[in-house]
Amino acid sequence: MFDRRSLLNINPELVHRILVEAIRHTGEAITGKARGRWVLNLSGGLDSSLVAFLAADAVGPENVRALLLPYKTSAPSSLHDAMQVVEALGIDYRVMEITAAVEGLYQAKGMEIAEASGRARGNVMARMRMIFGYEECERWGALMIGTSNKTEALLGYTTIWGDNASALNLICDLYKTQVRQLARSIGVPPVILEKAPSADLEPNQTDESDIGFSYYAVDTVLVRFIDHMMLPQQIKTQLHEQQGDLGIDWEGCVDKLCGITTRTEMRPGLVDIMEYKRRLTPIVPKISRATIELDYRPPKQWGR
Amino acid sequence: MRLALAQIDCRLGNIPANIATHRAACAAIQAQGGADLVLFPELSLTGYRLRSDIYRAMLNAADFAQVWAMLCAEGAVPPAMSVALGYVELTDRSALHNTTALLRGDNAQPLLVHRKVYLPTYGMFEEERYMRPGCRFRIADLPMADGDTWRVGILCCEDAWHSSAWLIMQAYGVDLVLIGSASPGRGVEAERLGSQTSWYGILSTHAELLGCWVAFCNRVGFEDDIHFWGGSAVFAPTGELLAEARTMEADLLCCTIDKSAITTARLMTPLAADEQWPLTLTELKRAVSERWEE
Repeated sequence: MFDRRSLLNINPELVHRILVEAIRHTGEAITGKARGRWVLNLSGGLDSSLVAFLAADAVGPENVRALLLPYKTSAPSSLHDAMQVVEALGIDYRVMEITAAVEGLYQAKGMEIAEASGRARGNVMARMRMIFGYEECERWGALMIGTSNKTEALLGYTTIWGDNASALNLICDLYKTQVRQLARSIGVPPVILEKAPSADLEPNQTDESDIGFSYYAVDTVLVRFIDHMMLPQQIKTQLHEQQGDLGIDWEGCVDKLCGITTRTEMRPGLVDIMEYKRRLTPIVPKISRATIELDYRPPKQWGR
Repeated sequence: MRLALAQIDCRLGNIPANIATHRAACAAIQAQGGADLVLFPELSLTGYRLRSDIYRAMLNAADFAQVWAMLCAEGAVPPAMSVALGYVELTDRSALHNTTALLRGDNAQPLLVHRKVYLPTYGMFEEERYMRPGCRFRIADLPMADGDTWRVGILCCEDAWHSSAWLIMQAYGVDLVLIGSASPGRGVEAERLGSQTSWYGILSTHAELLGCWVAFCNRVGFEDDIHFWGGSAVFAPTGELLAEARTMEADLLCCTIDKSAITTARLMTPLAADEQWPLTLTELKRAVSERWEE
């Protein structure tokens, strides 16, 4: 019998080990200390909760500080869930409302906050959280650990220079489905495992209603498109054969995510369009003999 | 012979630090009773993912002689001990190679210099972006104190993924194949890393088909985003796994291997003796000219 999830399965112990080593190595390579300090923005969601568990395991709870940064419209349950993580791990934490900072920004711009679209305001919040995080890093002598996952990075469900700013984007090579597997294995509290993922930038928003497909559907398509280099038509055929009875619109999902690239038609998919959010060094026109990123591409950790 | 696999971490472009690591490994081997031959990982002196800064870590012949002298200073490498280690070589034609050199403690002249032939340049790999492929596979005959001579061949990482390279080793009649590697860890679905499962399959199968000893030394550590999984191992001429190092941690694997195991394996299963070389060469020539040449 075909195991519907087999392409997304991970061995959580193996992944756990690799990620813990990555935290220690990166800390050492950048700061010279294997048991360096890390700051993370803990939203109470699945991704940041998992990162908190891994960081505490890697460097000890005394070297991890969580920032809980609600906005006035944030769901109160998010804060409650984040506190559960903090208490379970015994890590240091700060709770700071970002409302005044966000409103102050709009005031300084001479705008009414209601003039800004939901998305614009959401991006300001995400970037504000980044600033809070980096300020904390500077003061406490820590590095910023990121909490993005591979699914959202591929879909562009991120804010440029916001939630994807970090020294180590720890779980950004794990699909949401895999984040969940690892989180379950490592002991993230059940209430966090079970709730509907949400960016919580607007009231009652859930990721899956925004995207229009469940994470299961999206990850099933993405792992084939990205990790197994299957073409969209091959993915559609395979999923129809193997998972046609789940009532998921595989055609629609593949078209949206992967687009259409044939001899007669070119329609980039969401994953293609969102590359600009992943390649964050801005485009630089080439003038010299050795342009940064094009010719001059040194390793990040020279000598380490 | 006493064989040691020095499963070390390497620091990018930091030759002084890496020399120190090599020396420490040799000292540890002495403390464990010594060895006739020590194998280090691929690019052990320089680290692997040098990218566009590769020219800051390259060594020409004179540079390398100096590095070897520093490594051997104060008796760190016993005169009769042979060492296989990796570095970025700058040739007198200004070409860069991914080079493995085999030297004895009492001699600055290498016994064997292998320039990696198959440079992976796909997916995450970009070796041929910066280095040129080697054009030979080489063997060396190592005399041991007990009078035995071991015929040793060297493959580097990706070389071992080409059966043709193993066939060449078989044609030369090697007793021991040394493989230095910088294999990144991937494939997390099962008990073991996919990389490890693939590698061990290749090594075991070819040890058995050649009826020779196979020593695989893979490094550990991280370079930016990639990590190396260690898991260094020695495979016997039957294909069996004789010894296995830890994964993801520095380690030192010392074992004793003997030529009689080779003889036994080849008497029981005389694959090399049965190999029809003229046929093989004729078929290869025919197939290649039909399918691969313009």
